[in-house]
Amino acid sequence: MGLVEEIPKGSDPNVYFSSSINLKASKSMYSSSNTDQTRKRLAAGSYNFNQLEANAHDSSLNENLIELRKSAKRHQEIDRENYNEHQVKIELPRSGLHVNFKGFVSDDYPIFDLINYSNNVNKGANSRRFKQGQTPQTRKILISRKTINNYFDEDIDHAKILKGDDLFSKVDNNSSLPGKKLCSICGSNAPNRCVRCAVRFCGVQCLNIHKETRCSGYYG
Amino acid sequence: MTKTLIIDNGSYSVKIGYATDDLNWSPHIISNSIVRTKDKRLILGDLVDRNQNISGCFFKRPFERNQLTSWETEKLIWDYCFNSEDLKLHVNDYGNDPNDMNLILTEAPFTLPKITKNTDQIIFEEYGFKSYYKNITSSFVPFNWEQNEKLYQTNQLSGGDDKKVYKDYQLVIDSGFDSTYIIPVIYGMVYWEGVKRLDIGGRFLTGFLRELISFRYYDVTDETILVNNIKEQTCFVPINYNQSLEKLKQEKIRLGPRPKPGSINDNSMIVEYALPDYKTTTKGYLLTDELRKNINDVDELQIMRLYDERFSIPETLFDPAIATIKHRNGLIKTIYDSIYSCPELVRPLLVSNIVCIGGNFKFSGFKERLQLELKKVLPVEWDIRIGIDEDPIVYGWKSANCLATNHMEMYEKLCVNKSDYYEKGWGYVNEKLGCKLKGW
Repeated sequence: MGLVEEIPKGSDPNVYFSSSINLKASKSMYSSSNTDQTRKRLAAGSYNFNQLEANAHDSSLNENLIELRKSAKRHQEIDRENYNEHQVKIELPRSGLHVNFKGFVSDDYPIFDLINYSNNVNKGANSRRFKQGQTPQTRKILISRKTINNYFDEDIDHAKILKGDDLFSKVDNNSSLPGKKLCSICGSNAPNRCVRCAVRFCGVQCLNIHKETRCSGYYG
Repeated sequence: MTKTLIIDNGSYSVKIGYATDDLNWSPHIISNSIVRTKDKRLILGDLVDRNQNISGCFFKRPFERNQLTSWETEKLIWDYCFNSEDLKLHVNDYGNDPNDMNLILTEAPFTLPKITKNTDQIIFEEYGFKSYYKNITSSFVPFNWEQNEKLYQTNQLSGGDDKKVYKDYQLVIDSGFDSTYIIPVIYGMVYWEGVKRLDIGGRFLTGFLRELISFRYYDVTDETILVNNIKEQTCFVPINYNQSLEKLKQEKIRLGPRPKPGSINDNSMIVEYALPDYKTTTKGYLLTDELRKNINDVDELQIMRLYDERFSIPETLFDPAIATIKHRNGLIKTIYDSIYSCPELVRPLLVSNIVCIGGNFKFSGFKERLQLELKKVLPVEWDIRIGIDEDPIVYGWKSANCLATNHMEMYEKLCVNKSDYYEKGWGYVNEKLGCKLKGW
């Protein structure tokens, strides 16, 4: 039976289209089993291989990646000296401060201010223009306001080593050691998890606080 | 006589002083930062302690992620160290001249070549030191082997009377402000392939404590100095985390929700910290039994009680999952990996010569805990000897001092002279002093 079937126009190239002639799946059958609203409905008899494969193998890997990113973000959040770092930026004047500190005794200056001090010194007898840096190279270094990210961008190879896996000890994902089960509110031992977001709590008191403040309301 | 200046340039503080014959002399410790106070003055980090108001200070440090990026800040701090009357180093005065002075400088492991180049240029062109040697702090520790042996003495080597000194093999754990490094040093050379890094340092611990206190008790998000003080004064490393938790729980039950005054003393797990109220104190202090006797009405003070924070903060070093950071190894696994990436013959020797430096080892109980945990993961026949000095912050400096006083002839071989720098250029300096990891 030499039947040739035409692939519908504008179909997704990722979607493998097989013959639907002998397929007798009724719509009602699908709708009863599949309650996922967000899933894209495909034509009968066609399979999205990318998605199938992702479902079969990659889901665990994906989850790992998401968790890794979450951890990195959390690490960054804690690992800051000034909590409101983005609000305040301390910049020194580009022309440099004329501060020599020769004979400087800190007890003489109970209310010390670098900028004021340097202005006062400039006004004094030594009033010739202050030059920052003895040679062109050092002047360049002292004037430059490069941040660590600029350096990393310039020097990708070394940055890779610094961030790379070789420098950190390898994490064993299959390690069977149990983690600590600690209450997210008070830090004591906690056998229970929140029903809605799976964060641990130790008792009713902490659960109530958790529900009011930190409960994200979804799993993961 | 040519003087030797030693600078241990850490990301939290600069340890600075001239080399002396007195090996127990401690150097000056200067905070490596510039601070913007609440009333918008810029001051040097070291003057903050004299500044009464410690609230709302913002820090700017020359170091970012353990890389010396901001030389304009670092130069200000060094100028203060070199010239001010507070330290009396007088680098440019009283017959001292950098042009006739040796310099030993420490730098962070894995400093980017461009940043190292900046440092070298500033040293020779801006300050003009006569000769200069630079390495990471840990590499100096083997020079201090006599003191190292004293540190281990509490746990001797097993296996008879012939106590050989294996000073050629040294494992250094450097836990500083930015991060923790495990560094094997073999025959005085850093074995770069075995260097491992753990991204948790003092700043992380302070940040985590800040988060916990802000969530549980008072908002301290802008009180970096206060939180740091609380961390330094109250935290300790527990021998067994779960046991400590259990003990704390028992005590909580015994005391009830509102402990009576006087029921908490120095022996209890719970501590009380008097917060600054700007009437009696502007800095805050830890309440001890002695202080409780002297203070008339304790109720007047604003007191914060600390419970499990005291030991869960340092415990994060061993188990980052406490701070909900998953997929990161703790300190023990990092040490284990570092030892096992060294040649097989050397491993037991490294394990019996472990020295810990860096501010985090000021937490009490660290040595016992490390000993216990390492015993669990390493083969039984290996002798584990760990040494932690009373002041691990300056131990690196003292070791560098040993190089300068006892092994001057070695320094002559290692150092780079200014004339060499001008003759052969920076490439020569980097070849001699730079990081020697393959592919770096």
